[in-house]
Amino acid sequence: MKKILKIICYVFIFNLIFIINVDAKDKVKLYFFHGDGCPHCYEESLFLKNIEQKYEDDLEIVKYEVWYQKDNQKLLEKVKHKMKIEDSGVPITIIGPTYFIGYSDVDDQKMMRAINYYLDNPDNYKDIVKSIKNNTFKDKKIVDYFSLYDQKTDDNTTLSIPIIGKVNLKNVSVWIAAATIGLVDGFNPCAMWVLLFLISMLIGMKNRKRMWILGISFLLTSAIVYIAIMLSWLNIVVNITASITVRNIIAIVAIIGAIVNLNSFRKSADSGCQVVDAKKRRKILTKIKKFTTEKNFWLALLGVITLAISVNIIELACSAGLPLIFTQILALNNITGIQSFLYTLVYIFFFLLDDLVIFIIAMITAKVTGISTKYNKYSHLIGGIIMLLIGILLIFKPGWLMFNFN
Amino acid sequence: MKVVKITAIWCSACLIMNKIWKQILEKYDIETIELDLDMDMEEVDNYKPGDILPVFIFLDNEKEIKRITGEVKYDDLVKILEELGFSEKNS
Repeated sequence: MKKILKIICYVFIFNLIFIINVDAKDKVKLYFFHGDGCPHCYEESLFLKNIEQKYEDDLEIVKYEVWYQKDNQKLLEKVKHKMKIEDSGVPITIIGPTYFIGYSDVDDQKMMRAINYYLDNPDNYKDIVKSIKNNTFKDKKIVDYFSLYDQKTDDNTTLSIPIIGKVNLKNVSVWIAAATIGLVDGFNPCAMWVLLFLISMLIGMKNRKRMWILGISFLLTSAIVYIAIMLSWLNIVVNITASITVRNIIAIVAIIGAIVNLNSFRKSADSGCQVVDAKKRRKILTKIKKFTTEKNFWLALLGVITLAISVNIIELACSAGLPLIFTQILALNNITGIQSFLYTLVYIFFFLLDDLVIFIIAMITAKVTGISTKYNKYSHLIGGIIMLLIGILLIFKPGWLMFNFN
Repeated sequence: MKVVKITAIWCSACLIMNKIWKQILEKYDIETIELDLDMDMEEVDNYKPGDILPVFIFLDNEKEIKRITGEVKYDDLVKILEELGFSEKNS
């Protein structure tokens, strides 16, 4: 049985690699008609340089200088005539049958959406500029599939709610994803035992104020460490995720993570606490005992912060799959900057929710409450299913993870 | 017959089982030796507790006759006790 499962896994992974290779052949060309010395063209060229690295082999940028190069000027006139572009300025950017006139920051996202769309829907991609250049252009009417799709998506993803006004369903979907994945990740038992031991030690302290401060510092530092790791990961992912190859590799990681999680669910017949390696456990327990009995408040605070940092970094390996997948969703939706921070904050809030509940109840009642380990077992099941679904969607329907349900 | 109960203060399943065991002791008269995995290391090692906590070891004349690990429902625990021949305090 095990052998059969292994063979199925190998065949599946082999197929995925095959898919990667097939996808890698489809390249999208972006034609950039610009003028030497034009400020907007310069701004766009910086953006294009950035995305050229990001998309690697999936995108080719072809540049035509049209202020000084007469041949290029002629080509642009021909293209404008055929594509019925009436504007006379530069830059003009053409991706398949879709064109952009001028350049502003807003166009960044739209151009990337267009590239992603044509990479995902190669049947709708036609290299119009190439066919005009080679005099093979015969289409009577050019269908701008991306603009039609983008408009439809915009209509489909906006909902009018009384009082609140227009709500973008796409944003709501990302909020829901943040809360759900964070909550499932939170039931991961890896670091819970440290918190429970810390709480038991804190309850023994006489100084209630100090008890609250040390406990909250532990949770807050854990949150900061987690956010820092997630945002740094997002920074890396957002720059490489547009490449189909990288996306598929992340998908394979997600599927492997799913198999590990589902296996843990299957194996953990006994619900109970997994005993952590004795040496590691005693080292951490000694640290906790040391700073909870430390007379100097600042040394105790430093101890709790150091503990939270080390525990979370070490234990991250235990739950890296879900945060990685969540950052991938943010990257696919081009969510960066302050927005990505807010989404990560929601993720962390739900991630720490069970810890917060246990901590607050313990501090108020002076008793440690345990959450049944049965939930840990089911967090493996739900986590495994989420990872499997997202892994499959990343390969076959990445648009769904951008919450474009078309 | 007695029961050796091995728990740890950092183990949430142990906290759940402590409550259930307390309820059991209200109904049944069972001699219970409570050991902590980290505080009573030497004694605990004699019982080879394994990887899952809590552990309940039923001993008859110091001979192990039954071992329960992890979380067990109250009713299931009562069933096991009755199978082992324990009877309620007032019966």
